[in-house]
Amino acid sequence: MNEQWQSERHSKAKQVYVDPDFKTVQDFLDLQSQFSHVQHNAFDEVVSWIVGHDGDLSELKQRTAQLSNEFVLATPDCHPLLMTLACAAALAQAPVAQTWIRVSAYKYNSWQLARWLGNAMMAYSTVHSSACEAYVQLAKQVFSGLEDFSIHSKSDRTNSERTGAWAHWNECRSKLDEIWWELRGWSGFMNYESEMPLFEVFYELEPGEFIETISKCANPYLVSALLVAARIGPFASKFSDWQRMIAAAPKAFEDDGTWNHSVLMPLLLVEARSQLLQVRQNLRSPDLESVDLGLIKDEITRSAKLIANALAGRSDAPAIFARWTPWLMRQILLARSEKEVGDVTSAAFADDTLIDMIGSKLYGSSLPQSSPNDASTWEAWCYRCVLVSFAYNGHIKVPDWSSFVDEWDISPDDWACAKGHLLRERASLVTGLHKEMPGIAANFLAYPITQSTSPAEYWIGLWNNAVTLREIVEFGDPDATTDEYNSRSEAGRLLLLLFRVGLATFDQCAARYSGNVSPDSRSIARLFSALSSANYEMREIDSTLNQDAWGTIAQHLAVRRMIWALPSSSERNSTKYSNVFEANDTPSVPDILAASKGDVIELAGLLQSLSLNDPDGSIVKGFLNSALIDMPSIVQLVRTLNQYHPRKYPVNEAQLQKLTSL
Amino acid sequence: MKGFAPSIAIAPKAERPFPDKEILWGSQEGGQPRFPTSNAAYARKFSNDPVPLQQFGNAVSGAQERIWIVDEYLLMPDSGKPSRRIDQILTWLPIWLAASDIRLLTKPHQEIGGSELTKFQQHAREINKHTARRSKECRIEVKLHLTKNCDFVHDRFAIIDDELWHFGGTVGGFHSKVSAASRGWRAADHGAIEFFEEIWKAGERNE
Repeated sequence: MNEQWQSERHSKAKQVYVDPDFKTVQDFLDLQSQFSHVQHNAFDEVVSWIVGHDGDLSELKQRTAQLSNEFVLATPDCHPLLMTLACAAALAQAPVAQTWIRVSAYKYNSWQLARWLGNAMMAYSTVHSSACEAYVQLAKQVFSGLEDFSIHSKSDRTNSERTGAWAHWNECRSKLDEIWWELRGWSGFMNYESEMPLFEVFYELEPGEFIETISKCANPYLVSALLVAARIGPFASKFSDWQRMIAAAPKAFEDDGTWNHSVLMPLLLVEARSQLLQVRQNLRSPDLESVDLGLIKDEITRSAKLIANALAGRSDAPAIFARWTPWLMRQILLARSEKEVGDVTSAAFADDTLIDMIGSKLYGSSLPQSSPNDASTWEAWCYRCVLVSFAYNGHIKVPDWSSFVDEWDISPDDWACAKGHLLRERASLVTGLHKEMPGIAANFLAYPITQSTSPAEYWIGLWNNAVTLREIVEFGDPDATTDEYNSRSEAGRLLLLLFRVGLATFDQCAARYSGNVSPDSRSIARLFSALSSANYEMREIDSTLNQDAWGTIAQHLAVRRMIWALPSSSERNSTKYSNVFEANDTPSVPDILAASKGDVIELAGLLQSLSLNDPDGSIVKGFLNSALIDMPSIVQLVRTLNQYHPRKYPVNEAQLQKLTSL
Repeated sequence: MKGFAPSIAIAPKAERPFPDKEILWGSQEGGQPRFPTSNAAYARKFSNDPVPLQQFGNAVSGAQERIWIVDEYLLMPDSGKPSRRIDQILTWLPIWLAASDIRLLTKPHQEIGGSELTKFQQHAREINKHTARRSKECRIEVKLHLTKNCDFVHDRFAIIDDELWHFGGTVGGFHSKVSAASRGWRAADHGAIEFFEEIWKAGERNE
């Protein structure tokens, strides 16, 4: 059961430097063992003075100086050690907030007191068992004072940060998002640094009561700070403490995933992800050349398994997974490419591994089928992608996709109303991604379609039903009073996403298809034809900034039309691609080329992409002949345009040379 | 992640000719590669009309694709009226402008009302009207959430097509004190396009 965060093992492997200026519990135990009866009395007098007076540090130092003179042994730092121990004893003798405030005032001005007090308290409670209960009671009182802001820091800046953060929290509408965002803008536990020794002692003495105390708190800033006292968070985080807290934390999510505003569990999840992401940082050597990718992968997998195992032990695990995994999926969707998700040094790889590990712990448990009502709008589709990811990896059945289809069924009246707004808001995260075609999100959203009995008809139906969106793109939004362009652009972006889902459906179906001509291949060819028609239509009607994307899509279609009909003698065909298309399937590549004849720049782009996928150029040459395209004159025209306006008509000389050779 | 389907290569877009890296100091002659003399610096400081960088204005006018600017004080001059500044910026955007994606990210100023900002939309309409068969509509968007939803941006910068410009003072070189801009950075190489898109979208956060 030697389960540890990777960072724990990483820090153990480092040589530890022990600073003699920091005093240990043993130092204070040694000091106490030297007390004679007389010295006890003198010490008690100092303790009583601390309890009963608001003095300044110099006075306390003076009193403890007299006391230290009575020690004949040459104990290093005897004076500040005694002062710190006296404060620890005072807190045990009068465990009330007032004593803490008095000791804090001394601590604020004394480096030693600030850093040694926790160990002094632990040592004092070892010798005086009654101090244990006193310290626990004191910590609870101070916690209440911090929670209701009746206990202040000596620093105005800290007080302002504490109250400012709490005010922001109360105004914030997406509170759970703020936690997933790791409480952005908050300076972290340093705002409660002065209270840390007390809570470290509290956790050491009564971890159960500590967890129970912070569990009831609604202030995430306070709770996240105090987690550091329990060795959860930056510096010396321990898996065993995190695991203990995970097991004891109260339920934060109802069965349908609704958050009950308990902050402890989400904060613990944030810490888990932080530990997971640290793995790649810890194992990266300063020279990135010698990084051991295999080791990073193994360690990330191991850490993800630890996290998933700990969570799976809870009865509310499905609800936790339902609310946390959309955030992990969000990071994956925002990755630049599928390649990045596969890169073990990327954050997306860690998130993907964690989602997969969580999926493996489902054991058939029933997950909510959709995000709850309190979820942020971005969550709904990220959760859809999570369910698909689980299904794709064989952990659950393919999710029902009818609600996804319903969301796209928008009437002209719906567009300006709640349903139209909801579609736009939910899709907003993925419609803004233009990094790859079709892209990770589109592939997730397409997967359930590909698992249906007739994927082509499924997507064609979706596209046909989106007629309202196409009308808005073409004719505008009659309800838009101020920014009519925005409506057209948003509708166009949604259609672009729907098209990407269609292209992903094609890719997945084609990749799965391995037989000869069959009903399957005919269906895939029909889908391709529908995608081509959709692209032609959108290029005609969308005059917004989406137009560039629609222009590039012609290249994606042409390349697919070519590679999924490669001759069986082709080297590439023998490894990857089946003959999905028949010779007379339309549009053919020459059809696509012929349609672009009027724009030589576009035609050159098409030919360049085709050439990239036809290394010896023989297939592309055949297309040129069929489409009656004279390559030398095309290249000449491109060069002329480039000479006329190099910025408007830029050329890639290497690619143009390749075209010249066709 | 197991790939859903084999990835398919598409030819990358051809890159436009790219200028060399250069540093330009604000001057009453419209910018210069050397520091100004102290006399020239004084003259500019007390000028009623500090001349912006001509090279930047030319780059904006010649943009083919995008003009993205991030600057809290883009529309707010040190002295004088904001309407004058907006008019100056509009001179960079001739009605024959080829670029269609124009986004200005700044912060709100009391002195700049909605009527001032509508000048940009009117101008976009004129640009769109000018070319009868313009395939892609010109869109000028001004967003004011720079200091609200992404208050972590200190410097000012602009992305003109593929080129990143970095400014010590106001974008365009309007600042009257000694201030420089550098150009010739490939925006994609420095993550500028992704960063801009992220902070641009931050305005959509409903908080």
